[in-house]
Amino acid sequence: MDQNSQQLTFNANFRFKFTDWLSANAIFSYTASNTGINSLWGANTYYAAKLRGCEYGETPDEYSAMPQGGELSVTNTNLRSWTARFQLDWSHYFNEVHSFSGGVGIEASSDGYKGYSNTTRGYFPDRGMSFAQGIDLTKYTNYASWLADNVPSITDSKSNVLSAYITASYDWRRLIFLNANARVDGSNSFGDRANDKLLPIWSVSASFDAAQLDFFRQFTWLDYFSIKGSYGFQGNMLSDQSPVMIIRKGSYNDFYNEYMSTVERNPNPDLRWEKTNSYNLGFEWGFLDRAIQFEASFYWKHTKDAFMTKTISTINGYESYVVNGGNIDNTGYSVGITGRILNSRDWNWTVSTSFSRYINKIKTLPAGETYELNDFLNGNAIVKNQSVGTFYSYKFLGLSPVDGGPMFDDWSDHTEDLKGLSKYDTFTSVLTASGSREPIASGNLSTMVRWKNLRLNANFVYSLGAKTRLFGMYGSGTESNGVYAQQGLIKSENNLSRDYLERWIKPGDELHTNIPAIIGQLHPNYFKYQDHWSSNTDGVYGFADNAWDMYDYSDIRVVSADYLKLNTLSLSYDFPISLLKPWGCKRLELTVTGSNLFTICDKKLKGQTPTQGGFTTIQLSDRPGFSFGLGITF
Amino acid sequence: MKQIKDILCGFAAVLLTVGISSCDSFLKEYSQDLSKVNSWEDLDEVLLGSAYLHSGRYYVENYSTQSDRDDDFDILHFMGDEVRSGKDTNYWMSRETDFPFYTWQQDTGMDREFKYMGGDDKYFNTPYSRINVCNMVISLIDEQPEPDATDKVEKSRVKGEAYFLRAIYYFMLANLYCEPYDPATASSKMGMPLKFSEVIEDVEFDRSSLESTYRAILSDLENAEKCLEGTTRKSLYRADVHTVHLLQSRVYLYMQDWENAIAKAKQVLEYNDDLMNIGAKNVGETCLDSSSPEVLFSMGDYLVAYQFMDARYYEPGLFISDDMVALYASNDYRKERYIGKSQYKRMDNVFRKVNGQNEAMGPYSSVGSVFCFRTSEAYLIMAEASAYKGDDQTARDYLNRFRATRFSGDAAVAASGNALIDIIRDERAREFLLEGHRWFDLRRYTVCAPYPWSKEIVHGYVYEANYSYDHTDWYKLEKNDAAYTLPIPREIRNYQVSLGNVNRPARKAFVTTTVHGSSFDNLDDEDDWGDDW
Repeated sequence: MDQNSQQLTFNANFRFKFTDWLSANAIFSYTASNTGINSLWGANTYYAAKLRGCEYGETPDEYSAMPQGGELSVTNTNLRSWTARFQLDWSHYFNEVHSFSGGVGIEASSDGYKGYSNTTRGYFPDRGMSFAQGIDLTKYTNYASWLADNVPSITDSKSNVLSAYITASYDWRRLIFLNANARVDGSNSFGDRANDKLLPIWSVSASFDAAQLDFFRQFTWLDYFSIKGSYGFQGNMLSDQSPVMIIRKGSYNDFYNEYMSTVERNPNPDLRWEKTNSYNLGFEWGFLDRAIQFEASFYWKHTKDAFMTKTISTINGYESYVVNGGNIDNTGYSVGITGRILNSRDWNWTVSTSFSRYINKIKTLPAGETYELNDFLNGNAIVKNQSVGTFYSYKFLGLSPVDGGPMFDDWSDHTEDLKGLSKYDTFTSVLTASGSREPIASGNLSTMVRWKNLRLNANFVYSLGAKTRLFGMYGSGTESNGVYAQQGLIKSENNLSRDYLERWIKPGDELHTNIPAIIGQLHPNYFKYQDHWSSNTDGVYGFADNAWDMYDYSDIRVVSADYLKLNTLSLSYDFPISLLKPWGCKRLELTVTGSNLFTICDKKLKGQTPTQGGFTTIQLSDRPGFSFGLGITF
Repeated sequence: MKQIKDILCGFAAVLLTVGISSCDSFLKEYSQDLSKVNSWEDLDEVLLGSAYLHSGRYYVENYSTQSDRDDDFDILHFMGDEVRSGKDTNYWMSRETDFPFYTWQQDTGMDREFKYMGGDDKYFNTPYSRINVCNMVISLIDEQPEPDATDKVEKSRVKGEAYFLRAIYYFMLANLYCEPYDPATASSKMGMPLKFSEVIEDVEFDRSSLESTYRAILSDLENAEKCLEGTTRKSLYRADVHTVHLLQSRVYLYMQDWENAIAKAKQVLEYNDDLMNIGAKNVGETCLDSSSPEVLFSMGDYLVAYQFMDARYYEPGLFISDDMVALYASNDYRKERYIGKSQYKRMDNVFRKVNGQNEAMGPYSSVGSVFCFRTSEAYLIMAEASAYKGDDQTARDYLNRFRATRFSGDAAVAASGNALIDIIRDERAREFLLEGHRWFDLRRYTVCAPYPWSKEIVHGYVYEANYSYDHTDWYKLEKNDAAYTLPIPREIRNYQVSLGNVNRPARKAFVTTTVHGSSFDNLDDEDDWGDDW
């Protein structure tokens, strides 16, 4: 394989100063790069032998797909992009009281990408880099049909973005600060709604240091007390939605002797902009010569007409479309405190901690039966009076004393009560809410201790209130998960978790274990757990496929995901200047760092990491790491 | 110094103005191959690409078989009495997904271990997604520009083709998922949910009555007829007005409206009453392809023929059933041409109407196995509808004209009444072997007012162990079984329970045997049967 690339970058930067309060700045940059990749499968490789159908040196038969030579693939790509920005800035201070500053700018950028790739067979690299000619296509029919379908592939894409922005600030006696920003972006990507090409974003903010007021100046222990607030607006539209049908132009079709095109996007004319309003309020205090510093901030993000993908009846011809789903409120607050506990010549100890809490609520439920069973099981369904991220589970009752299979409160003894209920009502009746995937509160704690030249830094991270599922044991897992242990894959030659050692083995075990028995195809009760009554009963929405998936998604497998983790711990030593002088060094620092050292969490997790929100797929947790560093400054 | 500064300032100012003025073209939408609909030609191409069913092929690449096919309705071939399983299951390539259809299971998404695997909703979703394309084409075609006179005619043609396709897909859905049409009860039976609008309807769809569904199909066909009158088709694979007439004739026949069926079939025969002389074909040659003078229109592939393929060490996976083979008399040309010997092992009762043996692998099928429209059908509809009306003379006329090209010697029929109807029905079964008619015919014969009729069908499903034959499970379809109507697929029902379902019985094998035979009745050794008997 041969790869070569060239790249040219050109940057130019101009500054103009018109007057002492008005200046301008222009930037222009251009990048061009070409890459060529040639990859070759030589005639004596295994790959070429497979295509040729015989060993190197033998005569190929008529089924050969590459009768002579090797296969050469050539790919050329070509990128051209440029960015230009022009900005006008002003800044003026009137009478030592008022100060104005700001800027207006316009920016344009363009990224163009061209690619060409082609594969050819019959290549002789040692024979003057030539290609075989005159291969008899009537004899080598497989090669002929490969040749008929083998066409080069050309890619040509261009993405242009044009933005304009303006920012303005004003401050009064360095006491009150006001700020406003606005930005407009437009692009040429295909399919943007024709009349709504430009995305607007704007915000205003203000801050005020109350400690400067005469009333507060008397409190000498108060260093600063600033209050700040901001408001912002953003509009958003998805680029792959279109109000009209979009088609993909195809090429000439030999069978029909005509050109063919296919439907690419179905029309979605009623989709409106998603609008987000954000509000922010913050406070900062400093006391006792900055020995204690407090910080609190609160935000509220309100999104109107948020985008949601809604499943619709396939009688429409396709199964889902994007709809404006409702209003989403994201609110949260965070508080932080930094304290300097010790401060002397030899000792210094500061601790800082922060704590934040998020509250997400959806105010208006999307109409109709949007949520499927998986949405409820995975925490994607929005349910009235439950926080966003609440996931649902099947109600586990225990193991069967007869064969050790899992038993659930699944309404199998009063199925008529479920007949005629809507999907939403069926799922909320049969399933139970098991908590939220999102934590209620999270934060960190860091501390730094210094003694003479030795410094110790530690950083802890914590999260409270979230719940997670234990790794699945018996269900069918996800499609992409090939190594998953499902009923059919429990074989003596596979590696399995030690949890299976605690499974039910004989009647009586159900009193002290919750892990079901392994029930294979030859077991007389195999079929009892293979199919669930709800999936084949008229008038009832199927809410479970089989007892094994139900077990993995049951409430017995839900554990708390609270954790306290030591993120980093580092120790560093600064060599004293006196030792360094003879060597000409200005600074020499030695550091040992450990990361992900330990995590304190629910012991039922048994090593499963609580920080990942993924369900029932086995993943490796964060492993601890150690590093050692040396920094020298001359 | 100041001059340089001035020049640079001027330069920047010029750049800025040039930049802002070329804003429009800078932000003009660009895509390599996506586009909006700009003309009737675009809609014509979209109809071809997304609404018509394409042909398919099997081909060998790198010593392994690859398939290149569009959606299909091959399950129609496995539900009736036309095929049976062989002992070597290698080349019946779709047998795992076809199991619930071949054995008439209660839930067509079951696999052969009776575990739910899904996938059967494609027979419900495919027609609706193509109906959606037709809806969009019909709604957009009228507003396209027509710079000259020929464009107006072409726009009408595109609209007509879209109506035809919509009608045929609704017809397919109605015959898969609804009960057979009986004019006495059709207004109270459930039909299919109908959607004719091109906009998204985020609602729970109601099922219209069976009568309304068929009325809607007929109305679409009338519109198609009006729009296609006077237009020229681009190829055999695009519908024209004569195709519409034949489909109308077929729909009327299924609705038991004999007068209209006869009128439309006559229109088809006025245009083209050619019949191919089957006797002139050599044994082993494909009898049904695009060169046949009978073919009016075709859509889809004929890959089901390849399920009858064999190899040096493997028998064919499928054979034509004994019942069907018995229908061919010794002087019937089709006895050796529609049914013949396999390529390597020279085994009998293999499908040869379209050659699906190894030697025929590679090219695209020239006609489809479910949507092939030919003049033979017009002849047989004339015969059948006339016989039901009581007009035995006309029925015998058309039947004998048809039989003259299929039998050697004198094959004229002199029967009348129900005996004549039996012969006509058998003639349909003989001629339309594996063309997607038999299952629908068996359904409608159960409710045919002048002469209702049904039969038992037995299918044996082969299970293998360690790559060789293990045992056969035998399943029986009773006369007038509820399983003649397919269930609404589970995925669709889970989304919208109010679509309801048919009362289909659960079906287990009635016996398991450890030998396999060409039919249940002629299995050799009773002692070898399993304990379930």
